[in-house]
Amino acid sequence: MKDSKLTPELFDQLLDWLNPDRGQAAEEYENIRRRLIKYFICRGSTEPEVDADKTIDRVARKVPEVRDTYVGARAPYFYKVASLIWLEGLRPRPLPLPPQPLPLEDQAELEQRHQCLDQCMKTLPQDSQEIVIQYYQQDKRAKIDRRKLLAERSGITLNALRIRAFRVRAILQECVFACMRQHGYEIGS
Amino acid sequence: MNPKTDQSETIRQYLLGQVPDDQMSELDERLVTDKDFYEELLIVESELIDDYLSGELSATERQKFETHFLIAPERQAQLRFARSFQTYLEDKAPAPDPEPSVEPATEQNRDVPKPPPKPWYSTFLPIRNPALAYSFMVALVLIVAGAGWYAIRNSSSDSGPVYVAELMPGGPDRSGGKENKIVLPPGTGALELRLAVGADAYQSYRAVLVGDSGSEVWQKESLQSTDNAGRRVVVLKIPVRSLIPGSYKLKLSGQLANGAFEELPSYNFLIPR
Repeated sequence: MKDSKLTPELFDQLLDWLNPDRGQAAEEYENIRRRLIKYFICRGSTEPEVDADKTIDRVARKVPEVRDTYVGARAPYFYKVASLIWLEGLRPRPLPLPPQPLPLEDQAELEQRHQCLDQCMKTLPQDSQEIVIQYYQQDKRAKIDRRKLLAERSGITLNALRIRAFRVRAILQECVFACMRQHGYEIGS
Repeated sequence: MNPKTDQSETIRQYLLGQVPDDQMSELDERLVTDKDFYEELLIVESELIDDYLSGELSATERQKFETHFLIAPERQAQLRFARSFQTYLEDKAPAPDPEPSVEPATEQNRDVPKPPPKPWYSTFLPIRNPALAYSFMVALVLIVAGAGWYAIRNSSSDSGPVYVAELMPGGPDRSGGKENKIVLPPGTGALELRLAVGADAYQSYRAVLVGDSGSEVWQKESLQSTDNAGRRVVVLKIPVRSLIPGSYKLKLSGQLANGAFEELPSYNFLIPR
């Protein structure tokens, strides 16, 4: 079956099937889409976003058939369709590639990224800046002790600190990516 | 056995493509259906990238990282971000330690006299005799000044003095014999390397600096050779923030008229601990 663009009606039905509350449905849609992209990346897809959208389109077309009988969380259904799409696209396994050096970036791109990082750090609240700087500094000898101390000072476990530091880093990364795109650089494509 | 640690390790193997197929499907499904597992995967992804950059992956892991993990352009972008982020953190001063807790006064310590304050140099020079300590420090300053020649220049991108060193190609390497040791004085902003090259047969040069673990730590393109006392040299300036103690291999390649690059002999040096 050739996948083609979803109609607004089908998309509406899909959101409705995800959650009767439209705001929550939109959030669940975004969450599922992000996870599907990651799944396809982990599986080595060369077009993870296209494959994720193909999955969503196919699920949306099935909603009229299943909505009266399907019970339970929606994400497993998306997974089953995604795994079928993955299998459909499977080619004979290629030979493993020799290690590929990362494509070189020019000095201008490097400088721009440093500038974006400077700018983006300044947009973070002070305590977030402190956490992300202290948590990720690479001094191997002191890193573990510093993290323990930071967790104690913050009154949280080491794992909770790990999650919190990562979430700040993720915000910082998205900000830097957005900044780079504004300056004409393509990210992740 | 810590379930959290086990899960992180399993995810790590999954990301490197090192889990059996039957386990793979189970993890695939969790990735799509379990939001906590998804977030844990994102965290382990970032930790894997950091470990790669700091040379902490084993040879097998590194090979899997480069041939499997890094295939996706999104992950290459994450790697570039992580590298810039590390450079940014290296520029920041280390976080100060929290105030030491003050020992409460007790009967035993209330009347104990405080020791005299230590001299300002005692942190790095444990010599009690002040005259001897000052003589030692003067000698140390003279040794550092005489150890290499030290050019102070204004630079638009690297503040701080520049340390200049000249390297010959295909010199002593890390498999045997002495390596070129470069001892950077404290406060150095950049290392300027002058690489002797042959007759100028190339339009431009590209330099890639590779660290101990084989990871690329710095690179520059469009370098030109210049004349230095009758010899051709390629001059490049590496910010000290890119250099940690260890062995380095500087790979140089020359660009031909047709745009292709030709690999040239590399230059090896050591930044001692």
